[in-house]
Amino acid sequence: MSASDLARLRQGAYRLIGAGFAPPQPDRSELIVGSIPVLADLGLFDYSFSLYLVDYARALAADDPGELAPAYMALFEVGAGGAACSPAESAWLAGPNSSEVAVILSDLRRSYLRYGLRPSDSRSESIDHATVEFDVMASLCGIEAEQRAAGRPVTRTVGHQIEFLDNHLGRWLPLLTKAVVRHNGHPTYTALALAAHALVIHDQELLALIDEQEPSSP
Amino acid sequence: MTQILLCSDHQTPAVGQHVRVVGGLCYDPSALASLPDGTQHLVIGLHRDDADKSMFQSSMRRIGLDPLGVGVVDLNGITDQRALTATLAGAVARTEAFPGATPEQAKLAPGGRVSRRGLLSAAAPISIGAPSIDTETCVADQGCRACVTACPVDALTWNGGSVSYDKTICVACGICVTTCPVGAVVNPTVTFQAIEAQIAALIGAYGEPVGIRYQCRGAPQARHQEGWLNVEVPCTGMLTAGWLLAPPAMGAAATDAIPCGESGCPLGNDDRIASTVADARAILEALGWDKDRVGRDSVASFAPQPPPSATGGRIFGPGMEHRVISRLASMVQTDSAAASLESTPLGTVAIDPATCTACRMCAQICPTDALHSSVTDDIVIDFDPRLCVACGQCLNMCPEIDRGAITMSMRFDLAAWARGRMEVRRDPVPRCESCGKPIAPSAMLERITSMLGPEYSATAALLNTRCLDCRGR
Repeated sequence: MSASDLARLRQGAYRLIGAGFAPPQPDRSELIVGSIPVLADLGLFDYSFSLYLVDYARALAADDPGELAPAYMALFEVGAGGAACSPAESAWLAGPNSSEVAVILSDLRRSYLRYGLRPSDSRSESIDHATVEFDVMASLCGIEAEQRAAGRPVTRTVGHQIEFLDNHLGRWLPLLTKAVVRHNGHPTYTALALAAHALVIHDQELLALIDEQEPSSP
Repeated sequence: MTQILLCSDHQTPAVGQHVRVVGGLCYDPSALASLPDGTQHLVIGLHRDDADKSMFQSSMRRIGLDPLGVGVVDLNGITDQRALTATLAGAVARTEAFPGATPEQAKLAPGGRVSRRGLLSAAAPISIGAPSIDTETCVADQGCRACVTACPVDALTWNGGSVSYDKTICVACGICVTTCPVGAVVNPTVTFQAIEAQIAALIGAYGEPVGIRYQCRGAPQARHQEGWLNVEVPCTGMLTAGWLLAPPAMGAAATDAIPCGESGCPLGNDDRIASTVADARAILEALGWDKDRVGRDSVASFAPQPPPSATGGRIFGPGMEHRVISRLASMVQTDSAAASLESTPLGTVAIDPATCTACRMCAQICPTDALHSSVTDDIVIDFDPRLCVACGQCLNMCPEIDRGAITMSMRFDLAAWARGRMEVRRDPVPRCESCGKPIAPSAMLERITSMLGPEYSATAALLNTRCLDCRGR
């Protein structure tokens, strides 16, 4: 497997998890489940997070999307005191002061611009929502894959990935995962949270190793 | 259900009903895809040390098995059926005792070795088991930093009450696992339960006295020798005297430890291994056993010897040294042995009543409750040598350490263990003349009075007669 394939595989894995955090729809579920064989061709099973990704896809395949919707809503969207486990960075990292939410969002916006990314206007989620943050990582992996395939340097892109995981996704996702597992609202979403956590943990280690061999900072 | 897949390149044994022999398995793991549904555990016996481990791990994941829980044994060089049967029985027992792993407990090892080179140029990296810290069990908040001190690569850091862990630096040697006094550090591939299960199965299946040889995972090839059965560990530096003495206590004839490097441990653990082996031999000698039952890479110098009959009961686990030694002592029916040790975590604490102020900080910091204090009319500190792991936290915490208020020696003493918990310090606590509440230990008040000197006699008098609440009234 080439380094470009590895970046493509990671792009697909992030895209899959990001789609999982979006509201359930039949065609989306089919897409997620159907992407596993594609990722397998890219070497998915060479990596330990594959076990969790497959567990999630299996759980999703066995679910009726119509029955999944209330579970999604109860877990991630509404509740007496807000969502039980809000899949948004600011819900976990911002303090009680609302200005802290603004700081997080503006920092994210600056980061996206620096990475050359802009959230689509058609998206309804906040820019700190898990679907967006996983898509950001997917996009950065996609850029890396293209750069590697073209023989261009990737150090800057790898640096962006490391920075984004260290400053954003990798900081709050463990908290969300712990909450989802503890809440135990629906086995599919528990599997999703564990898969997301396994991917991010694995990627942080993988990127540190890549960075050691191809340093991203001067 | 546990399946065993064996490569048939060298032997075609029949050792059980779930065994399949597959030609060329060493180079082609596709046979894994045809394992029956419901396979929960898998042991793979290979004969080639150049088999591509990443390819096997990928195939394991395809059928839903975590490679960290699959036993892969090198059978090359095993010439007799009995050793083969025992080796596979041991691998099955260890595999079935696999507790499962979390994402944090899988570490990337590029090229199949714990090296950070060649990630992008070599085949896919393999996963190895890495430690994680159970923060609910960890007693770092009491001051314990045994794992931080022991880590040979500084992957663990003390943060004043908690321990942080850097997986990218960690070499997964397992030293933190065996050093932790409370079992808070867990590597799922080398748990106390799994190692004990493997050794018990090896001894039981072999049927005759046999030596147990701990072999480093990094060894280029497993070394097999008649009369010895191997137990793979991440690094022989992780072995404690308890680990070395456990096999004889379980009925094995002897124990050996083989580092991976030709010129010793590449992680620089040679001194650690040497002192551990020296301690184990000193313990055996003090108990009246033949000290040559334990050695380091010394299989040529002694032959396995039949042990006295072993008794049952679990012995592996945190603080196992006490259990192992007690069992070894009972096997030779002795109750009066003692020896000084170099590094084995068995401590004996002594308190000097002339300089100790009975502040009780030693008891409050003790992570295993070996030192314990209570307050009634007197302050009483007692000590149980069976619980002491010689971590030295009591010494670090003692405010009167410079005056020799507390000392600790690494030793074991069966007579002291038999006596159990003993009072090591008692000091009366004067009561407040005003409200009757306890003021402070009399030794502490005496110490403060002497430090204040005659110039502050009035202050001293107040301190000695009134509690903190009543002094300002």
